[in-house]
Amino acid sequence: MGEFASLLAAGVAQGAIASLIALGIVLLHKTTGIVNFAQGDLLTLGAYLGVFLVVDHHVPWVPAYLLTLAVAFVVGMLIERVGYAPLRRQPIITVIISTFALALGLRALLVVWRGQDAQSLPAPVGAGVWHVLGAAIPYQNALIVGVTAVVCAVLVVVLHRSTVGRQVRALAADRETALLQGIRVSRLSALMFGLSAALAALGGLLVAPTLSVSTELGFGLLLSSFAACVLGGFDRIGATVAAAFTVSVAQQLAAGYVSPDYVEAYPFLILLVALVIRPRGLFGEAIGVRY
Amino acid sequence: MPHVPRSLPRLPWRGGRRWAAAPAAFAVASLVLVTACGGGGGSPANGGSSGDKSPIKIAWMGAETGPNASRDRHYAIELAVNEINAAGGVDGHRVEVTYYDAGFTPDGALTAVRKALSDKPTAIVGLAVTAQVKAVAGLLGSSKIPVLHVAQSDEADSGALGVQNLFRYGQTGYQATGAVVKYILDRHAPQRVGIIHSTDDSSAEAGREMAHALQTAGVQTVERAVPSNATDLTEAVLALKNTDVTINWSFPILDALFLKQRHQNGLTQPDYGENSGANVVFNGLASPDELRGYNYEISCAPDLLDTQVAKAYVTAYKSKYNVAATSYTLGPSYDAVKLLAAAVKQAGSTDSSAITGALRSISYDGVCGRYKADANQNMWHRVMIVDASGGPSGQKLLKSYDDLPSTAK
Amino acid sequence: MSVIDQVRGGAEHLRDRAAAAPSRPAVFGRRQWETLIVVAVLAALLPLVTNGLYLLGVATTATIYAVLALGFYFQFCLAGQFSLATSAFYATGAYTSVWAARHGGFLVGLVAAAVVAGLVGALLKLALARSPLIHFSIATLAFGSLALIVLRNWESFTGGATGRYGIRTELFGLSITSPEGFYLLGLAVLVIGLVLAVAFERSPARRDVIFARDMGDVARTTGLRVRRIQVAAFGIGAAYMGAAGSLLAHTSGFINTTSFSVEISLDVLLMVLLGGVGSLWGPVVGAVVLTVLPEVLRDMADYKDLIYAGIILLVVLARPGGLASLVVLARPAVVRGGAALAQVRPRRRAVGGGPMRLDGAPLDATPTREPKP
Repeated sequence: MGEFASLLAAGVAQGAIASLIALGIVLLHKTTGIVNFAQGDLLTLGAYLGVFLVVDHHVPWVPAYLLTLAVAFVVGMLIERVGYAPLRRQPIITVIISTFALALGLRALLVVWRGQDAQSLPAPVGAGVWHVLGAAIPYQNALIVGVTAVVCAVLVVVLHRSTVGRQVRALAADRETALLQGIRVSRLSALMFGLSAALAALGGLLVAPTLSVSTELGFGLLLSSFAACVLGGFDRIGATVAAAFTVSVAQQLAAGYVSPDYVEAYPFLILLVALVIRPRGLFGEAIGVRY
Repeated sequence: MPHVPRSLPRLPWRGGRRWAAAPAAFAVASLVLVTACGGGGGSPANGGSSGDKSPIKIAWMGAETGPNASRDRHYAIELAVNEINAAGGVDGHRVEVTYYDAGFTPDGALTAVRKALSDKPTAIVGLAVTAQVKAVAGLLGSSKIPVLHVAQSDEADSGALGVQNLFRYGQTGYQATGAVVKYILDRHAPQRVGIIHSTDDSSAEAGREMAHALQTAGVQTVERAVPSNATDLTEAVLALKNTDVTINWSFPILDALFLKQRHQNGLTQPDYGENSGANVVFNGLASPDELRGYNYEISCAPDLLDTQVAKAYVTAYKSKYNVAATSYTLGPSYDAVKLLAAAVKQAGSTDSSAITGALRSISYDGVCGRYKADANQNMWHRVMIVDASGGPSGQKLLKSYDDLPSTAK
Repeated sequence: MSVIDQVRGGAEHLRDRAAAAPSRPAVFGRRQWETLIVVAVLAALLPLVTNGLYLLGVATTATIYAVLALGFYFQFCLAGQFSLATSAFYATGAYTSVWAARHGGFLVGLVAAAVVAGLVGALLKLALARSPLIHFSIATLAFGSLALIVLRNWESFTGGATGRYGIRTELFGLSITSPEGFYLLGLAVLVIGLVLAVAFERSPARRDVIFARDMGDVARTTGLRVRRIQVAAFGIGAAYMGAAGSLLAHTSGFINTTSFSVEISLDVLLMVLLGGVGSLWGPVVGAVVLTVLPEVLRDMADYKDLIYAGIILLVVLARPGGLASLVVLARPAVVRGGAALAQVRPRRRAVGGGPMRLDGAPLDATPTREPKP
């Protein structure tokens, strides 16, 4: 029982991080059609900024984290200005290359700024663990899941209850019509880039205390988030989050009960099998505008 | 013409027919560009000096980019070079070091070694990965230039590769794993030992060797292989829970993760790791709580040694760079430069075969200890077990195994 | 006038003919064979200019990446699939070639590599035939990673984490060991690949493939088997990548699982997109430039990646059509020169007929220049 609970808890925590990144990717894709290759490196940026502020400059963690999210938001908007806006008339593939180049540039800048040595970010809630049903659940993992739940809830509320949210949903449904409706499409695009960058940075801040911070941090986590996006149909928030948790938990349980030797292969295997069976993702595509 | 509304995004292959001679010429021109630049690149900053004697050119094959490219990777090397040159060089020959980025893949090493050889060095030092050494073995052999490497596997032995000018100046995996197993058996007399290692070449080989050695001694083993980019080790940690001693053998980031999750899951038995444990401690990748009970093996820990030359090195490093020599891989680098200088002095010339002959017979006492080539041309024979629980400033030397044979053969 | 004539438009000068004159696809004006011969000859002369181990090694690597990029071109531009499984086909080809070459030399290895990699690619596309574009792309990313894990664990075939060393290259009884030999071998495989690609570009099959790519549903109504075409195009691209893998294994003399990583898929993607997807030469140009660039930047270790990213961004922003579109600037002068040379050459035989033309090119035989994307 203890092992099952531990594996489940680990899967849930990993799924929460994957869902944060995946949310950013899906939101951006729905509203602008772009898949942002720089998402993983924005996560790394968030982690490094956290280390810089908290460890090097002893800023208390709440303002440090908020400042990190703000900086990431601005960086996201910069990516939009440099990599998207000037290329708006170009085919989408060109924009994707430019986000790719920006990702490389971001990673290179991080290396020049902080060096290649691995660094660590202490957990804001301390290193303690809860003992639940025989499993040791670190406080940080509980924080990760809690923050993810809050962020998802806030996103859903904002999208459905606020004016901006309504405009974003309109933009996601049909770009041309949104333009015709007078929605400030370019401003919203910048907003979505910033938001998805902030989500990635938040993921970075949350996951950094459970690992070590290195320049490859984001890219490794990006793959499992892509899996979640695809299985969720690249569509709805709920579907994406559910897919993220499913894949991570399935991976942990398979490692524990099927075979530990192929633990790294499970997410890929799950994804391929799922796509062969259901080509449009586990939950299908949305017919209407539903989140 | 009827307009067929397109639902796909506009894709760039529509149109754009270009006459292709210019890009083709551009491609050939860029190759010519490399021809022009390739000859000039890679040369060291200090060009012709006043000496009429040819400089001793050391080609350092290291990781200049990528996760192993730490900020201080050149410090100890430059300290050694400056000290030698300040004393007038080696019989009047200045020492120059040029760094080539070999990365951590064999392909990267191949390209870098080819570039290095085109600059005609006196000696080649570096190459930490066995696959890299194997990939360039043929090239190195035909160049006849003396090579000092630190790859750990048996397969990188001079005899195994048939390369007469190849020497190893670091520990072998056999020595490291042998020391760890010996220490565990002597100190703990365990009944069950858990081994967790990463899936790459050398870690997997080390894991197999240790499991085999322990089983031969009548100890039960539990093994887990984890991918190098794993982000969660819960299953492996739980599998290792009911053991008397654990061993973790991978990379700094993965080691740190294991230590963290081991602490979270309440594993209190002693844990032994490989030499990236030093990296974990000095880069602060594990908290003091997580370091409790953690020990690692290392070939060279200058601040824990009592010899005069080690103390001098520690002091000189600190005064020049204003920070303690935090990485234990720097000591061997310092020694390698001075070892080469000593070999040149003993040989009396900078000729390749003379230096190779000198390296075969020389006995050199460096910062880390004594370098003396055995029949396999492996020059290093010491492994130390260090207790990490005191943190960066409180490392304790538990045991030093000197005169270890470099392979089982 | 029939609907077909109306579609073609402006066909007055043909009204008094019994049958419509065959049309000449625009691609025929591109003088691809001439370019190929010029490039092949120039490139083959490289060993005369330099015999440095390092430079020829870089040139050989460039030819290998050019073959990879050509394969990606087939998959991306012709099958319309954005695949990130390049490293999987590359690795499959490499290991297959090593295994097969033991029994018959390099040629057997090369062909086996291409066939096996092509089959794997075709199977992958077949299995995921119904997936939309992005789903398929991410699935290829997953497949790429999965294939590398499988290959690493399949020790008897691949040598596991250690890999294979001491690979020999035997061609028609000759053993190739010199850097010049390896370079010419790589160049030969690249030229063969380009010959096949140019032949394909000038064939009617290309029209079908482009039609199936752009308007799959409409193409089905004309009787084209879209799924079959896409699977075949994807498989052919994978075969090219397998051939590149074979070249890698034999020209380096070793293979190791660390030689293959997901980063290679991304690098090849970048090469093709940077070089431009408008023509067959874009991938080749991109491959050469992005192989040479890191070597030129070698001495700037810390800043190398930053400069690399900066250059790519610059090219993308300044010339979104890719490097191959730079030629637009040179075209007028080149065309004038070419026309002078062409005056003594016989008129080319026109090829035409077949299904309805949809790209709207007028019927007359002179090559047209299509608008910029």
